Amino acid sequence: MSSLLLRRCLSLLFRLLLGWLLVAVVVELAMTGPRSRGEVVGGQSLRLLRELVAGEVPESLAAAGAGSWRSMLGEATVASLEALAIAVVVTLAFGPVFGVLAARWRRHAWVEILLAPFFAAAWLPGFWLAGLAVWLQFHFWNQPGFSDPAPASGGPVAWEPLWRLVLVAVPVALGAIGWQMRSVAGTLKRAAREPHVRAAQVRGLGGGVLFYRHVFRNSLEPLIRSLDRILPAMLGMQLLVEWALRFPGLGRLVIESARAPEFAGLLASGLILATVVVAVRWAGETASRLVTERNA
Amino acid sequence: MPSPPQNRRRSRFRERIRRAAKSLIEGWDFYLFAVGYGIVLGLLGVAALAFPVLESEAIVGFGDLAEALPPGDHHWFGTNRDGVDLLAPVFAAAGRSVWLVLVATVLGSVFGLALATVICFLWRERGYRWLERLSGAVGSLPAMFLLFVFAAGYGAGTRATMGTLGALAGLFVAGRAGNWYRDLENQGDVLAARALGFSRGRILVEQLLPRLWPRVAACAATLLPAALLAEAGLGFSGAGATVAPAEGRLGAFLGAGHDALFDLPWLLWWPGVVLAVLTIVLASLAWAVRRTLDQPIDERIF
Repeated sequence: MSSLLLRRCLSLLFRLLLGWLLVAVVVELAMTGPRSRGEVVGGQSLRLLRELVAGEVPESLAAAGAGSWRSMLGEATVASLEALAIAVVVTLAFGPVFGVLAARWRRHAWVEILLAPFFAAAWLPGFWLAGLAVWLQFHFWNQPGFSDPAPASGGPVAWEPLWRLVLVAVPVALGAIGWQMRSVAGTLKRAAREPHVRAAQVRGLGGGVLFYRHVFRNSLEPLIRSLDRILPAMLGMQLLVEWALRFPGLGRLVIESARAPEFAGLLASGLILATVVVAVRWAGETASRLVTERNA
Repeated sequence: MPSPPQNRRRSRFRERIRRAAKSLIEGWDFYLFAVGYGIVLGLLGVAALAFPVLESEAIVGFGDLAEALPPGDHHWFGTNRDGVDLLAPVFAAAGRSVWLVLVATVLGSVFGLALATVICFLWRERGYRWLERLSGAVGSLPAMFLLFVFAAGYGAGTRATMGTLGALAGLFVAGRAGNWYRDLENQGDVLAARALGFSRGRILVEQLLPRLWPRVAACAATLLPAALLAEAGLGFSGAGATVAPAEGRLGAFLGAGHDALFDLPWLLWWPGVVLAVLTIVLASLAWAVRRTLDQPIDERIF
């Protein structure tokens, strides 16, 4: 067990370094574009990093925040991670459960019909839904709808900060639930077609017992691995939703930086995003390895 | 004495007609899908070519706010401040977006397959491992973020967006194709062909590529709706507008609608509805392609 954990920790370190290197390479490549013509190509990332450690947020990013880079990045990261946590909790509360039900009752057409709206919702543009939410707030509650500037008093609901987080999390989770459901149902349906499951069925083992004790338990490892696969897509949509709601998170920083363009903001956000994705994927892989070792 | 009918030589033309009719009857669902999607994509292409590009500032218009009419019997999608009906420009923009995404994904997938093939031919196992690592590393960053970064440097114009989307699709397909090559190379008939002394080129052309292209086509089709959302998101955010804006595409309409949300909300409503419908149409196209080619793509990755 300890050697497995040690190997996993080394793997995490290696992957983090690789992820950060990739972000730096991407930013360097982008800096060779027409906007940056005339600048020295290569080695700009180090200059940007020094700027991020000691410098102040430039005026071109005033809409995203002010003060030192470090404090602004800290606040934006915390805000985004809070919203992401709510989105992940909502996704995990609905997606896997509905996916398991869809696989369990796979022979009934009504299950597919009942779950079809969720599958369709996976393709709705979340940033458009966020824009509609802003308009609805303005139209029905006479509130600005955007997270910034903050309403003078109270807002449409009692818990204004939580309401703003929920507004970011729901469009993100709505898409992810459909994906998660499809992924879980697909994994379980494939496992239910395995020859040993059919043999058990022929020998007279009941549907529920067979499904939950054998199919579900044997698919635990791919199911755990499937949880982190949608994270990059969720984060991508969250960037857009945050900007649509003017939410003071990483999304707003990324898009304001891309509009300015301000590559220091892009580099910093990229490093944070890569860290989050790599860490979550690593945790999923480690959990799945532990489950495999326990079953072996 | 005339020859008996069973010995009479059949007309080639009739034989062709008979075969075509049989193929139509047996594969009616495929042809129905092809015709249906062909009509939708063709009409969008015609709309994209027929209507001029509405510049980003002209979407909202420069006139008085009172000139803007909400959606009604005469203007289904409403008008902008200059009184321009928005129905045709929105569909033209949708056509440009859809065709940009189609071309980028198809070219990117072909590039990905070519890259994986070259690597398969030159380095085999070591090449597959590198492809997988590269694809996994790129996949660990949100694709939207990569689009924003490249848009900051190169703008969100048609060529830059097509290049970035194509490169992302290509890297993704190359990673998957590497895994597929590895699986196919270990199959019995490929091993038998190698044992019989077939050259690597012959195995590649006769054994591997014919089985690989349907998988790549299914993979490319599955990427389409996500690519359309990403393209629209790029235009919506306005990233890279200082270098080259995403003019005349659906995202630009959504972005303009979002900026004028409290004055002309219908500028956000209808382009968003069109985008949602088109995304679902492309998702169903992907499903139809997978079903027709009988290629169940692993749902865990999409």
